[in-house]
Amino acid sequence: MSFNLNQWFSDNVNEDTLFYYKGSVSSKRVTDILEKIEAIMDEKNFPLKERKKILNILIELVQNLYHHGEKFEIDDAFKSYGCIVFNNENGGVKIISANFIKVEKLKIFTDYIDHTNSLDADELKVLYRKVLSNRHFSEKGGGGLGIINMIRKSGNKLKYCSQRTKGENFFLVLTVKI
Amino acid sequence: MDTLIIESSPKTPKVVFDADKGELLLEGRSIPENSLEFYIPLMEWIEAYSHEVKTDIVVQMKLEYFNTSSSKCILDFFRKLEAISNRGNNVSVNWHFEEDDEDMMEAGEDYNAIVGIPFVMVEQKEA
Repeated sequence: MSFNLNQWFSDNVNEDTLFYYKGSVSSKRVTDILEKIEAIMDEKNFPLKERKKILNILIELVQNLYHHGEKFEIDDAFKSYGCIVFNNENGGVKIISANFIKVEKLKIFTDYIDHTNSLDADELKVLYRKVLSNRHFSEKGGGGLGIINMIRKSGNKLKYCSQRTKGENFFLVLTVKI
Repeated sequence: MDTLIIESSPKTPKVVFDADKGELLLEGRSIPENSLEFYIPLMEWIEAYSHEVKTDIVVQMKLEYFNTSSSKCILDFFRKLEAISNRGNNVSVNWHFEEDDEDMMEAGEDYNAIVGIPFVMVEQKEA
């Protein structure tokens, strides 16, 4: 079955959804999304420790969309297109982020996730310190630090799946449980 | 040397770098999309300051959140302080974190493991 963005969205937004967004991810939009989710967590009385962990991970995910989300291929007017779904799940939360990605970047990215997912807590700490201190990374890319951070802070594996779109891109979905 | 003061914003921390007292403060959130843009003036100030250090230096790191791109800039900031320390000046970092914020505590431990200046971990009790 061919990829349909609206269908994907309706499959992932449900009665447990606390917040969702799809569209262009500008710097201002990043701020808006973070502020809205913080306000929701305040309103729902999320414990401070949990709120900080969620926001830390959310910052990585939303800014990842800002930096790396490819244009929505159906409409060129969108730059840095992305989706965020914030769901309650089994006493915790599940954050889903999704964006279009070029095929040549997909395998590099998912191989890195596979490798990082395979590490235990001590190995993640060693890798984090190594990447932070040794690699020269650009303003845009964190040399994989964001992935390490999300796995380290959530204490869970980072799940992903991808679907080929009608155009040249893949639609990549990342899921973090906290 | 003039004190560097930058007010906080929703994505950038408050900065107060006081050369006369040797007190350097970063407080709040450091989550800008373009961290270099924010940190370059701080680095330039430290570079100029490094030639005229007259007191011990105490850094107060009171960050609530920081993003990946800030993490590298913060390391560069500590590296500059390490260079000052290596020239015989006393430099120390007070790394503040809220009670039970293990992630922020670990972040301080990460920097402490990488940079050769002493860190004091300061746990702030909830009000």
